[in-house]
Amino acid sequence: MVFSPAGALLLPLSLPVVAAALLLLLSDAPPQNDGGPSQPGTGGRHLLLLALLALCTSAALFCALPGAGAPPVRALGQALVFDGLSRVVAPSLCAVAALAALLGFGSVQLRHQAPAEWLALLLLGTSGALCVALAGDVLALFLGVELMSMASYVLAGYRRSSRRAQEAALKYYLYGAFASAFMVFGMALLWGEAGRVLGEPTFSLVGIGFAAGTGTLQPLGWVGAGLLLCGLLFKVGAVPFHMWTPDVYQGAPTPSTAFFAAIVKLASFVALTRVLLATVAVTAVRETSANALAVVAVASILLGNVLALRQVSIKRLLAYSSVAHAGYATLGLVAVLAGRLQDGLTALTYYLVTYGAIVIGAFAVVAALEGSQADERRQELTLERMAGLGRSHPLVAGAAIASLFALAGIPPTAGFVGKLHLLLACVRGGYLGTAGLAAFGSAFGAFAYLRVLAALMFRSRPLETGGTRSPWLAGALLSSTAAALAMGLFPEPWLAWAGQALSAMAP
Amino acid sequence: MDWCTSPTALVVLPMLAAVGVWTFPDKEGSGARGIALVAALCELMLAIGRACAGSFATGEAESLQVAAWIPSLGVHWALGLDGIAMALVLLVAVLTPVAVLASAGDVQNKSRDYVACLLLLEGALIGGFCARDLFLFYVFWEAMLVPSYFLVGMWGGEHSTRASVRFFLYTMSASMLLLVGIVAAASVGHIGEAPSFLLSDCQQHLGQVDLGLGEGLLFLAFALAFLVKVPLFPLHGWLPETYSEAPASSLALISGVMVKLGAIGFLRFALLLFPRAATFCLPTIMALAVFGCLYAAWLAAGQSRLRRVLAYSSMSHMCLCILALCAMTPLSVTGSVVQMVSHGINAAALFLLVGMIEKRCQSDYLSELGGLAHEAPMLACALGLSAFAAIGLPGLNGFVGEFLLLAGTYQSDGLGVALTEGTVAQGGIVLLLTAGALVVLRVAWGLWSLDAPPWGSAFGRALRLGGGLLVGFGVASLVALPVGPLPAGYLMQLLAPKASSLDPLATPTKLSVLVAIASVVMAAVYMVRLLERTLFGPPGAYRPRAHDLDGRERLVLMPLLFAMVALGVWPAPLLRLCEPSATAMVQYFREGAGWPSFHAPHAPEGTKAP
Repeated sequence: MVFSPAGALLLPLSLPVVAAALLLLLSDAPPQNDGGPSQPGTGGRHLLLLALLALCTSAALFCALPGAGAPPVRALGQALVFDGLSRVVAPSLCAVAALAALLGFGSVQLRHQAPAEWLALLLLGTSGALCVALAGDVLALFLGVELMSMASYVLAGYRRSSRRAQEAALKYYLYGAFASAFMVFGMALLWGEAGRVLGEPTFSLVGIGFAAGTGTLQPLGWVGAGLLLCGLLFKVGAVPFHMWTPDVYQGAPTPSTAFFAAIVKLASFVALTRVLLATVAVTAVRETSANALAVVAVASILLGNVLALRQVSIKRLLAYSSVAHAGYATLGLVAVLAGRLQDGLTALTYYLVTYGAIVIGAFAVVAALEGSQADERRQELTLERMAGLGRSHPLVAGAAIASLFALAGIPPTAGFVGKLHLLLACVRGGYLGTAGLAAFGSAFGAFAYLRVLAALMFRSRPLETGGTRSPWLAGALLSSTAAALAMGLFPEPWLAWAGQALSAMAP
Repeated sequence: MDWCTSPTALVVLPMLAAVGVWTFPDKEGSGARGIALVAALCELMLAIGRACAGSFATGEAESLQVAAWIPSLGVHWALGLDGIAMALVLLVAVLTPVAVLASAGDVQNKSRDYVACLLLLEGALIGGFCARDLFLFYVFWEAMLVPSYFLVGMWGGEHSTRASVRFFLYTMSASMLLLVGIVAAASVGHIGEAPSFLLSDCQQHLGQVDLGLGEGLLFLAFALAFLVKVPLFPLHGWLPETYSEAPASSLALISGVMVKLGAIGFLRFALLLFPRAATFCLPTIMALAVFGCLYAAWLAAGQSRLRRVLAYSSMSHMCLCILALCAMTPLSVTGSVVQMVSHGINAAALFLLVGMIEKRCQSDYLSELGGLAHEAPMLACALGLSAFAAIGLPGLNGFVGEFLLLAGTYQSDGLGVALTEGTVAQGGIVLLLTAGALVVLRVAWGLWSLDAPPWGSAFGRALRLGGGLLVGFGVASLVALPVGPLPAGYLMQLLAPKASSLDPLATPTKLSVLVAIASVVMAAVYMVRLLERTLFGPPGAYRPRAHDLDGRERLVLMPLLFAMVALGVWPAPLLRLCEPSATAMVQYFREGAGWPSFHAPHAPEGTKAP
């Protein structure tokens, strides 16, 4: 190998950025916008292939890095770290991003937009997410979050003609800017406190963790850690930081929403885990933080699922569902803080990876059923408007059944194994009541998803929207559905794979 | 060819067949139905082969198959069959081909997907009865929910969407409780080590630790989840709508078998995993069961739709089964299982008949039926026989289970009663009492019901019907009397107090069974009313003239009617199948709960003292 391990870590991380630049260079001609319906998959197919190639190469390079037993690889000092957790998460991020790219290329909402720029933004956002997931110090974490968020803001408002999309972009940006400010302030406080305790300033999570472990951190340091966690909880959309999700998820183009739901959430949860492990997990406030996170989890699950019950728009429903799923993932953090490190981390990692695949499937279903009417209000997919579409789109209906059952946590899908593992970790950590409330909330959630299925399958009305047929969309649908089923029917290899998250974990 | 009849094969075959049927190209034609029928018949043969191959004499699970599925979570693919599970698996295996054949009558569109759902449901039900691992059981429990949701929602009647959503909501909330219960049960016993969902491991671990209040909560979580499915009294909100809207041929499986999985789950996973907590909660459940069976019978007597009468009748019978399970004597548990099998057959036959009547009359309102006996005598005979079997007339299968479970529940103070084939015949006195009550009540009903025709004709018809039943009862009891010991002496023995070793719950149990007997009498009332309104009287004004059963329908009903008579006359094989595992379960429960163990002092030769 020509590269040093550190160099080998930087290569797959920067590959998406390089590919994004190439994409922008290649897309010289403006997209044809003659008003007529353009055929999906005719223009710019090479752009998509380039993006997919970059993401797949990136995933393969991550997989080729030293194996499970090896010590963590670090690059740029402490800034980037490739440990057990990254080994699982980084390739998954690339794979999920590839699915999202397929979805974006097939979606009718982006048909008259420039595909190269959307793909370039997706790649930039993905490399930001990778940076977040691999961050070994708070500075790299912040840079990653900003790169990811900036790309997200543009992705949210990508349909320039749509007022809903503009609203979504503005809202996301304003809320996100606040969250970033919180994070930066928290990091500064942590940096100061850790520097005071250690005698030299440090940004690295290892250093901060060491300082926190001494038990001499002053309250200001805890405020800093709290602010940092709040900023990250905003990114994952957990209660009480969930206010932005429904409007943004509804207004943004469907593929962009899939990106927020799958990739941003996955990366932010990894960062949350790292920060928690570095700060509160080693100190006396561990139990208090676990209780606080349990409250956040239960509130997210109950509120998300109950509010999802009342939604008519599918994307709003999925937004509230994503709030609830942030709550489930938080259960894993609770278990980690409650002392079930191995259980909790395995459950959390498995859940996040499977959720990424499942939610892409769900949004692919939405994209496949959406119409392309000019009138924006008629474009939105509602329960009424999707009535009976399952009968005319059997393939989409099958994928919808699989992904909605997976979201509801019904066996034999991956969603069930993930949820069960999280509950198991929680119960074994002593949080039986939390697990009970979480399961109680899932019953509401199941009902919400069932309403969608009932509308799709049981009702019969004359079709209003014809839906979209595209090979790319079918690819995204099939591969995410197959992943959800395969990881649910044969979970053992995947669980073992996710279980290496703890091994060689840094710090 | 041992693997052929292994539980895994029994579970996998219908599921594979369902997938196979799904890929069949013709969506609407009858080809898929034919394939499904062949698959279901193969499954029936495998099940019969399994039943013949095993001995089922010890009460232990036979042909146990355990393989690690998800080792890191302690999940196993563990399937095994004891006698009780075998009896119910046979019931599913018989009812599925019947339902597939019957679906030709009431499901026209997308029949391919419909039969695939039926096969999927069959596989999940068999898996649920065989599962020996809590996780695996939960998987089958949910897998059962999915096809039944689609069966109700996609092929149901006018309000089927609402019905299916309500059905799903009720069972899903209960399932979530079950999920938490399972997770907790698998992890509390052994905090330090890896969890294990294997039933035997859970039993062992839970027996060792004392969880105090936690055990009570766990028991409640399990019990609630199962009792929603049965359904017990306040949990029955999903029942009337589901039974009114679902296609009749799917109800053969839903009402015939699915609700039984709830009862069996209650026995195997709630009572046996938490015997101490169960002792504490059982009086409440018993009271609800008694109230439920009376309440449901009362509601059934006042319904205006055929389907609703049968829905509440089904609930009444199942509540009685739960009461018997709560008494935890070998006889009551055996009786309860026998009654579940019998009721499965009877309910399936009744709902299939409702489907046939609806097809002819385009309605199931009692007021629009009537006079079917003249137009379709064979259909009337089948309906009459099924209704009589459901009431529990001697000589038909309903009587065996009902009598055993009532007698078994009553003897819960430790008085052993031998289980012999003759026991069935010993119910002479009870049967005469029932017959008398039936006639009296029938006449009273005829006189009092507001919309009955004038005095003379109502009285006359009531007398005719009652007289006919009386003669039937007389003949049946005359046949029965010489077979067993003298019924009067038996009854005296049954009623004699034995205070030596009282169960903690003996008194409430005895009281409750005395009250619950009333529901048996009420069953006679509502069933006779149902027959009266559908078969006799003037034909409904707004319905087309009904034609009699055609060849396919005769083929559908024949096995069920045959089973009713066969199990009523000769229940011994079924009893022998169920009794050992019932005894073993009762023994295990009584040891765990600290109840006096059950000895059979009067056990005659040939029966096994537990």
